[in-house]
Amino acid sequence: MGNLKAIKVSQKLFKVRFVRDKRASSEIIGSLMLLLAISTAGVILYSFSIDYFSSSIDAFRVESELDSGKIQERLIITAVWYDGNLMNITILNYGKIEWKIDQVYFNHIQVSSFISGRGVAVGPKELISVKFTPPVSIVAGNTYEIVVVTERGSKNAIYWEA
Amino acid sequence: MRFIGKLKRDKRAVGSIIGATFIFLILTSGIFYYVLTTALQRKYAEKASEMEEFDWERSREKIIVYRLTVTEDNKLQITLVNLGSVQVEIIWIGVFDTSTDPPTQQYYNVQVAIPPAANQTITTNIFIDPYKTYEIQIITARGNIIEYNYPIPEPWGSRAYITIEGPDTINYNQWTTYTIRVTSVTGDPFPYVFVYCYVSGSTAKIKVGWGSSTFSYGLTDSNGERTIQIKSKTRNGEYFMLYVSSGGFLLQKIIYQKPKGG
Repeated sequence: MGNLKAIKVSQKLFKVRFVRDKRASSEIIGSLMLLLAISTAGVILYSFSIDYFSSSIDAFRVESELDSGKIQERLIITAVWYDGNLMNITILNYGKIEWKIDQVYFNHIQVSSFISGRGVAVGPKELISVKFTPPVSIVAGNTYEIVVVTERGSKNAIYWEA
Repeated sequence: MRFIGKLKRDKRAVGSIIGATFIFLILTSGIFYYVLTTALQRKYAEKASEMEEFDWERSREKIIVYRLTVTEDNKLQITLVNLGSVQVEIIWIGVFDTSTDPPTQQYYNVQVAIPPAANQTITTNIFIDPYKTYEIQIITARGNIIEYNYPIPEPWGSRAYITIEGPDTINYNQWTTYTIRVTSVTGDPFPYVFVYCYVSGSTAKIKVGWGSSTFSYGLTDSNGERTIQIKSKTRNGEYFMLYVSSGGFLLQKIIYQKPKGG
């Protein structure tokens, strides 16, 4: 009788232990999965934020380099002459860095027919001669506004009397 | 029960490590971003400040042509005077032959530095036909352009004549009067012409209205005269120069200021 009771108690204890052990293992798996999910989400979020930051830094760096390049640019038109066919503009670089002439506006009209000088790198203290066909007809005695623009966007304007 | 308690503690530890790692990475990235943007901003500010100084120096350049002549072998010779407070570097001389249409334009590279209150004669290899007219451009490294015509048009030309009348020695801190006269060589006055005066001393000043300055300018009166007052207050005395410029010509006079009590 006593033995039977002992066996029953032992069986009950085994059942309880078995159930507890089952719960423990699922908790471990659950926790591990949760950890994995959170870590993955964190890594993804972090890599996204790093991508965002690096692209934003790159954009800022490019803008900053462009701005700091632009503030170091100085140009002045020293001479203008017209030979009856072509315009010839002489421009001095008195800034700290080299630049390239990108556009010329003649009475607010963009010059499209360049002969020379456009896109040529001009170092500090150097002169460049830009030759082009004027987009409007030149009338002696008339005054024309000539604007030269560099690739970084610096410009210089002059009023020239034909 | 004990086993479960241990597991929970371990979970917390792993979670804390992961959390700490993320916080560390976020902080590191933030600091890196901050340092980088600050460095870029500082670099930009330094360049902006450098260019501001450059522009300020550019505005301080004041150079005039004292003499524009042709040598015996017809080469252009220019004497420049630096009346400004900064050293001027001449980098280009432009010669435009205005007797042709359109004028032919040529630029010649030169490297001449002129310190403040000094003059410099540049003899070039540029051929000048004395029977032609030219426009001469002098270009400085800071982008200032001075234009003169050759030959210098009348009435200046060879006929202009400037005189400075006043003492060679002045007392310490005492206004002294000087009369500037612009005339032709034969003595005919040039009334109402522009005259520019400049004193080079460390403490020398020209009276301007109620105040004083190192330079003054204005027109001559009906007699072709302009009167200025100068004083200097260097304790141990000093030699300084008075420059007077008019119509592309310049006259200089050495003045000595006596020491205090001397």
